[in-house]
Amino acid sequence: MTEFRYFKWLGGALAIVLATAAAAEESLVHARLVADTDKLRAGGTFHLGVLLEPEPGWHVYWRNPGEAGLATEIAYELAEGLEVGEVRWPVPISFVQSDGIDGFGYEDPVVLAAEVIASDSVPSSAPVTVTASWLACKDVCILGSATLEATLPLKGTELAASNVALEAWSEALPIALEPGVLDLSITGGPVLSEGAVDMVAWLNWKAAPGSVEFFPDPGPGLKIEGVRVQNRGLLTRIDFKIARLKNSSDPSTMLRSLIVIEDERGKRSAWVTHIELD
Amino acid sequence: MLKMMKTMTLISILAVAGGAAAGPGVDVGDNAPGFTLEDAAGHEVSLGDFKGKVVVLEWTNPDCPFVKRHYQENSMNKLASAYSDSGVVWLTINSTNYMDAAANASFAKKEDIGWPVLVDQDGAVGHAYGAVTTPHMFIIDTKGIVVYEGAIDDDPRGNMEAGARTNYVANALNDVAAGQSVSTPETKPYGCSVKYAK
Repeated sequence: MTEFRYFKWLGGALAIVLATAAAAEESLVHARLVADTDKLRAGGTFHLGVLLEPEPGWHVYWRNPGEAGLATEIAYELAEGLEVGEVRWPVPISFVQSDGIDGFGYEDPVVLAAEVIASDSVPSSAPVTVTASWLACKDVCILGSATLEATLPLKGTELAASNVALEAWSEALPIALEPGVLDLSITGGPVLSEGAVDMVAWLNWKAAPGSVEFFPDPGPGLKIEGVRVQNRGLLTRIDFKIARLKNSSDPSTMLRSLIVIEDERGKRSAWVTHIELD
Repeated sequence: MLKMMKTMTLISILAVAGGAAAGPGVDVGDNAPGFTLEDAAGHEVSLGDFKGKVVVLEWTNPDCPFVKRHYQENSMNKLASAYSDSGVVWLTINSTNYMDAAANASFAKKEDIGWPVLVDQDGAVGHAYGAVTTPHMFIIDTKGIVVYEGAIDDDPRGNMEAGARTNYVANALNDVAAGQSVSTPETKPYGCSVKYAK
């Protein structure tokens, strides 16, 4: 079981340290480029991303924003010799956006980052540009973006702060469901081309889980409604209604989801599961 | 076998309190729920007034940046005007809890909206349709059936060149006008959450 902490403690100190990494901008979300390499090595890997710090009370969105909102986007422009992988997302929180409209995202500082691979031809220093685009909401919503430029490797306090931020990011990522944590069984389905289907995910835990949350991450052609989580001791029942968007060409046969538990001390653990739909 | 029995027992315990929550709102293919709302001038407007016509419902919130962008770009007005000329009825509905008739009148004047802007402060009509975002678009055909539900287009951030966007509403209205079934009848809407009354 991997445990992780949220980034509350990153708040002020890191923002001050990283203030020079990007031009400060009056914004509801403060964005800083982070990269954890002290030297660009041929064949080496490192992580590159953005630290986003929403102002108190504001949130930005996870890759599935929920029933409304907009996923945050990270785009990379890298020098030749650097190749970036997929952005990896820390476990989100859930919130009610409005009566009956659920949302998933981040209120505390969060890093969205990806692994970068350096080729044999990588130069000793390389310019990078990372653009973050977000929708920030509180009582109202504001679109924002930041284009952050840097020359890698970072140095001094910028590098030190990046290392701290990306270590916290790594600890906050969900992991693949491991044997020995729980038995997952599904009732309901299959999810065909027409009509919504009621499905139930049954989680039979090996140890009492504390509180349980479920974050569905459907493909573009799937919609999820009415998620309801109930706990009884070692069993968790997750009800949801799932449908394919009519005439969608999305061929998803799995529903990627996160299962997140939180113990009495507020420590969260998260696993990625794939629920078969056929 | 033992494990299966154990699971079945647990299922029966939880099933009492279980029951999947039904998703609210309408689905494509449903009969469009009827409603009567007041426009910004206080006149009652009913869906039933437009029997036999194609009706577009546009959920709005003048404070939402996605709505603002579409009106600043004139994309919503152009779309509404273009299809109004061919007999399509356009109704804008504002389910924002803090926006009364005066707020809607101000919005209509500012954006030069020549069609009804309907006041749904208690959110009853928004909930009946399952409107979750602003904008969120619904198209009702001449038989009163919902034939499209979702986003206005495929460009949430407004980054694409106007010609590169796919306007789902225009495409659906064209399909309906041609007597065809709508090729993309359902998309995921994008935008701010509808600010419903609690």
